[in-house]
Amino acid sequence: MDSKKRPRRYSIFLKVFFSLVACGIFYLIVFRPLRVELNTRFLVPVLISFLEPNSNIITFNQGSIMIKPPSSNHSYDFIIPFGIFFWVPFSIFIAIRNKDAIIFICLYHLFLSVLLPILAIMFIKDVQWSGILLNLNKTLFHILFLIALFIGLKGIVEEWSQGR
Amino acid sequence: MQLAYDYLILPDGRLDLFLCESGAFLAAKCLNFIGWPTDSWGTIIVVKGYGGVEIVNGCNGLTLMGIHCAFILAYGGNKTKPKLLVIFGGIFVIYLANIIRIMGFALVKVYLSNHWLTFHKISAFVFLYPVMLGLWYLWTVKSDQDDILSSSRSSLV
Repeated sequence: MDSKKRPRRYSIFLKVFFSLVACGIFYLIVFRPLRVELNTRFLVPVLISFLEPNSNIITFNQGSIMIKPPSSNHSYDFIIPFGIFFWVPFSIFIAIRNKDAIIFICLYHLFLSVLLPILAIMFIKDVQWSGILLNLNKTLFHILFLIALFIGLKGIVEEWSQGR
Repeated sequence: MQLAYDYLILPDGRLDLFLCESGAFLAAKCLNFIGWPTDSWGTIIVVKGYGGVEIVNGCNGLTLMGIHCAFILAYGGNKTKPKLLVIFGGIFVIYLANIIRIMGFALVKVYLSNHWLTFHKISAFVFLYPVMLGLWYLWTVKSDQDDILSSSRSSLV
C-alpha cells in the first residue's frame, strides 16, 4: 500500500480567494505604508526640489502624482507603480501559477518605478514631450492592467473547465 | 489612440460632453423610474435633498470604449461582421454599464456619503471591467484567431 499522501488539490476559486486575501493583507499591512512613506519622504521631495520656490504644481495623493504647470490647461498625472493595478493581477497569476506573467508584471512595474520619476523631472524642467509620454504611459498602464487581468481570469476559467 | 484623444477629441470636447451629459441625464431618468427623485443639470446629477455628483471626462467611459475597440481590432480574427458587432455592441454595453455606475455614484451620495472616494475608486472594478473583460472573453472564444492570450501557454507546471 502506498503510504505517501498526495497533496490535497484545492479548487481554483479557493486558490484565487486565498491568494487575493493573502496579497491584500500583505499589501495593506506591509507594502502600502512602505509605498506611502517612500513616496512622501523620497519621491515627492525629490520632484519638489526641481521646482521654483513656492510653486505648487505638484499634487500628491496616496496613489498618484499630478503635475499641472501654470502655463498649461492640461494636467499630467501618473499612477505610482505597485498599487492595486499590480497586486490584483499579481495575486491571480500566483493562484494560476503563471510564471511568465508574474515575471513580466514585476519587471514592468520596476521599469515604471524608474522611468516615471525621470519623465516627471523632465516635464518639470519644461521638456514638453515627456508630458506626452506620461500621458501615453497612463493609457498603456491601464491597457496592460486590463490585459493582465484578462489573462488571469482566462487562466481561472481554463483551470476550472479542466476540473482543477 | 491616446494622441488622437489628446489632440483631436479632447480639444473639441463634444464627444466627452455628450457622454457626460447623456450619462447623467439617463442615470437620473432611470433613478426616477425606480423611485428616487433625481434631477440632472448638464453633467451634474442630484438625488433631491442630497449632494450632487459631477460627471467629468475621466468618468464618462470613453477611455474604456477606446481600449475595447483597440483590443478587438488588435486581437484579430477574419470575420468582419462579428468583429464590428462586438466593437459597436461593446461600446453600447460599456455606455449602459457606465450609466448604472453613475446611478451608483448618485446613490452612494445618499446612503454612503462617507465612502464616496472608496466607491469611486472601486466602481470600475464592479461595473465596467467585468463587462468589458466578458466581451473580450467572448471575442477570444468566438473569433477564428488562435488563442494568443491563453495562460496555459506559460504555466509553471
